[in-house]
Amino acid sequence: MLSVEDFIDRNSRLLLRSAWLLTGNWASAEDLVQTSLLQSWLHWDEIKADTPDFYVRRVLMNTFLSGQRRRWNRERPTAELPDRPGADELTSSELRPVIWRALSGLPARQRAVVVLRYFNDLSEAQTAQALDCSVGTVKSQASRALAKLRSIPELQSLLEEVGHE
Amino acid sequence: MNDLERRLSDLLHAGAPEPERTITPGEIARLAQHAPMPRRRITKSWGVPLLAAAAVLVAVGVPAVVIGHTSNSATPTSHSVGGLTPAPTAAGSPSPTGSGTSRPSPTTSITAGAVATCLTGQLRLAAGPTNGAAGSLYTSLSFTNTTGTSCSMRGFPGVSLLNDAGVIVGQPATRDGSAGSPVRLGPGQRAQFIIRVGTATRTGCTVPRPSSQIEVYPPGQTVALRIPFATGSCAMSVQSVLAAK
Repeated sequence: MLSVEDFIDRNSRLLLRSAWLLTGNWASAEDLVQTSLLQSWLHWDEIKADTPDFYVRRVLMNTFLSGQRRRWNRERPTAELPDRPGADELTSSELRPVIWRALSGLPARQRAVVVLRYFNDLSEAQTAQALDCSVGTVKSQASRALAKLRSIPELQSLLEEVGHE
Repeated sequence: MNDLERRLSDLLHAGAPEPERTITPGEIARLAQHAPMPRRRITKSWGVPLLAAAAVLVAVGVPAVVIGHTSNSATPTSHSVGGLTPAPTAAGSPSPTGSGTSRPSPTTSITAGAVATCLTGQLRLAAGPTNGAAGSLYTSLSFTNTTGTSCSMRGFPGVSLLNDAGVIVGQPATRDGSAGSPVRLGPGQRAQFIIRVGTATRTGCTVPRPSSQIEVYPPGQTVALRIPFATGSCAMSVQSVLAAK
């Protein structure tokens, strides 16, 4: 049986990357992931028999979306400067601001659908479960998000580049 | 997936940055044990996981320990009080005095089927075990239907903490989550609800205020029940009632 420690070790990196796509900064991303993992830790005995990754994603999305409603996501003081291209590999540092600019233009729920569907590679049904909504809602949110993303010239060209490589 | 979706997927995989640091199990363990409260109230607007948390507490909380007097008679074992001044309340007939008006008004109960709303005098209040987490204490409390007939309740109890003198300490519990569905209580059956007592916050409250009793207005009632409940609180929230398993 997977221990909660192993689970955290295996999943925290992916969860953090997902949370970054949702929030666009590491402080909020870490907050989200910590909150979600803490719930998993507290309820491990109940969820381990099930699929803990499903549970964690669901908590993470719920926390993210309810946080959006409450606007806790407002700017907060930090010792770190905002993310910007640094010593990363070229493509990542180029892509990062473009991706965040594009995603931040989406309503929170559409962003959540995009992250679950196209970054976590969940099916429409799994995405619907994680967001506690219908498959129809996932479909409509995804198509709206895609239409919006497609209309961003900056992203359009990148989508083509990635597609042709 | 069509081409556009595949390309977007590739783009996200390529562009989502690697974390500057990972979150370790030890970090979560410390949070779970004694770290100060997370920057947000983690149970607020929790939705479904809230129910999961409730289910956990319900599962852990059996059997609820009766802290008040124990009695198998049909009279409530908790002290029935109406607001600050103890009101003489006969079992089954809540005092209609508006003494509870300064509290959060409980949601109006609606009946499940043809069953009447549970009245304070029909109920016994008990507290289950407390689970701690990151500056919060979660306690499952329950109402037991002490009468021979079914009744129902729905929504949020009104909850306050009191000191030895019976004076309310701090603010009443804020509501957390949705009002939920009506809960039908057959004779002897229980409805449970979870309260979260925040014992520390990163800003503001550093010294939880001590309290020794808890006062609970069942949903839709103007008469409260009290039982001993020793804790220290910075802030408190309450979830709606659920049927006890």
